[in-house]
Amino acid sequence: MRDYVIRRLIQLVPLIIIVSVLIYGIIDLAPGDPLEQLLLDPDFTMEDLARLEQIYGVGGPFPERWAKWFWRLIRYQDLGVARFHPYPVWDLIVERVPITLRLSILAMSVSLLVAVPLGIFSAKRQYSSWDNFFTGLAFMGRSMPTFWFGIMLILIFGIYLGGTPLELPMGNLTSIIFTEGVPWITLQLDAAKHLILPVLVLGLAGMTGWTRYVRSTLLEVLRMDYIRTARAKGLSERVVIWKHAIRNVLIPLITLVALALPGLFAGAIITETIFAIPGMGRLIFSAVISKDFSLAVGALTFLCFLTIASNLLADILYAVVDPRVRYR
Amino acid sequence: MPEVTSIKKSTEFDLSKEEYSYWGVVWNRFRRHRMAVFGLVILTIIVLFSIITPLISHYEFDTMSLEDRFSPPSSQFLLGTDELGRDVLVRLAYGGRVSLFVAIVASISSLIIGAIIGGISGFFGGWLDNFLMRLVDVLLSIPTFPLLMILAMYFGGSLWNIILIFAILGWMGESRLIRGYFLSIKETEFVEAAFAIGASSRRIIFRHIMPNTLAVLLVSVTLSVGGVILFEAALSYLGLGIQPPTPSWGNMLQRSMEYILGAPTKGGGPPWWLTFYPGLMIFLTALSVNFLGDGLRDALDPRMKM
Repeated sequence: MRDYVIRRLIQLVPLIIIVSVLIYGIIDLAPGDPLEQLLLDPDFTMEDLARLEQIYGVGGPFPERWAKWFWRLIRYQDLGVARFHPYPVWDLIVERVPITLRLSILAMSVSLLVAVPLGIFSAKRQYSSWDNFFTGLAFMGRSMPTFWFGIMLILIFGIYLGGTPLELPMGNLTSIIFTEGVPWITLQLDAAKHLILPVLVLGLAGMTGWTRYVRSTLLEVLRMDYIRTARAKGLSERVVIWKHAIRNVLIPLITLVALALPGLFAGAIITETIFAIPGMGRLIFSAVISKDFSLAVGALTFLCFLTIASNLLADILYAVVDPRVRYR
Repeated sequence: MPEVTSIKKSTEFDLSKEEYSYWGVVWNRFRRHRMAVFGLVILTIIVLFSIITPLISHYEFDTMSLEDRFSPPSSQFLLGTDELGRDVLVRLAYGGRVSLFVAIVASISSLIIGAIIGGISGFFGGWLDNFLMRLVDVLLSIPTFPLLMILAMYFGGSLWNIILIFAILGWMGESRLIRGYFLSIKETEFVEAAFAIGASSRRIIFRHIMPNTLAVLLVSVTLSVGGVILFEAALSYLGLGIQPPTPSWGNMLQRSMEYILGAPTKGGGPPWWLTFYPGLMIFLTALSVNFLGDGLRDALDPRMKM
């Protein structure tokens, strides 16, 4: 097991290098360099340009620039300076990640809490009208444009239900009216209220996808011989499902959940834009919109590393939870 | 298959009859898939709506009427008007043309790229296969949506750019799928027989293997149309997709967001029709395409799993 992890880690090295060359290359080769726009200003000299190129690390031939950038990243955790937020990119990312991570983990938990019971329910009553109903819902969830879903929720809970007890905040992480001396519990409740709609929007894909997944896997497992044996022993249906079948459903689900994290971060681009949440998603969006080179490269690199890390995590988790998996 | 009501004499079976041909059997199976038929009907209605409405309407997609800004749905403007007094119904139809065109052309293009790369990989194998599949691994570890955003930002949101970007980023999954099919079909006896009588690689690929992957390709392209419609709408919603004044469902939604909190609507209240209808079109199109893809998969090959 330990050897397996070490071997996987070593295999990651070339992957990380190739991916980072690709990302750096794609964004680097894209036309439109904001620094050149500065030359339109008559007071802006070539020396200034050279100095700024030095600061942002954009001068010189491509391999040299990439190598310098990569070295600074692994040696000093330095991703350069964002142009339009005058902060180091590394600090911006470190500051924003926890916000999106919290949102993603909440969305995941809600999705799982919905998906597992619903999937089991549907599988136990295959082709019943309830099962068909949930199948329809799952298709609708898969076809739902998340941003539209979010806007409609804002329209309903923020505007039409405004002033009623069901009103929910339309955006941001907290209300801004708070001053000193507000009790802690009120602050927490306020923050929780702000999270309800974003978590629903972000968790929608997982909810529907995982429900289908639990249903189809359970159906497959229920056809297996050991389930027939369990039933033949006279065990109750509850024990058969919750003790015998469920494990074989949850093992692959764990992998799926681990693989979902990068997708949630990408999904957060939309969710955080709708609800004006200052997380990673909005950071990526603003980096792209303002053509901020260092920030875009940094944020995209972060997402790629997250993808690679969760792939690895999924493989390792699979080996840990499933004793049948043997890795040489 | 048709139900056999009585035992027929052998001469009464006419195998050339349509219901016994491959596509006849497929159509029979498809027909019984209620949701797939529903999807086909809705999709046909949406396509017809997008094509016909601009032909018979009094309004163009850019006919402005400033005194009618933010009119709620009425008999004059069936689905209301937007912030410049343009008719939402006509814009939805034009947006439908754009969104459907982008999705269909992009899906077919990425399918072609995927089929070529997957086919080469699966058929020839060896170091080429290794190289191409590692390339796919690497590309798949870059998150698609942010990359789409970056490319759309730098190359601009014209119609063909958007199609190109989707084609470039969409082929990886399909190439894996096709490769798998090539690998397994290559091992079958009829391909071995073709090799034995000295058929050329080209003939084996195009005459023997490709036709057998047609079913997968058809299902794959259908499902990917649904995905592209959603992604394109999301890009446009962020202001990175198809650029105004060309209407697309996504950029109509984006514009509507600015007015959702307050606009001088006739009769007060938020202009919900600006937000509701474009989203509904995206949703219905994606839903019907997904139903259709699911039905096709079951009809073409009940054992096929994707």
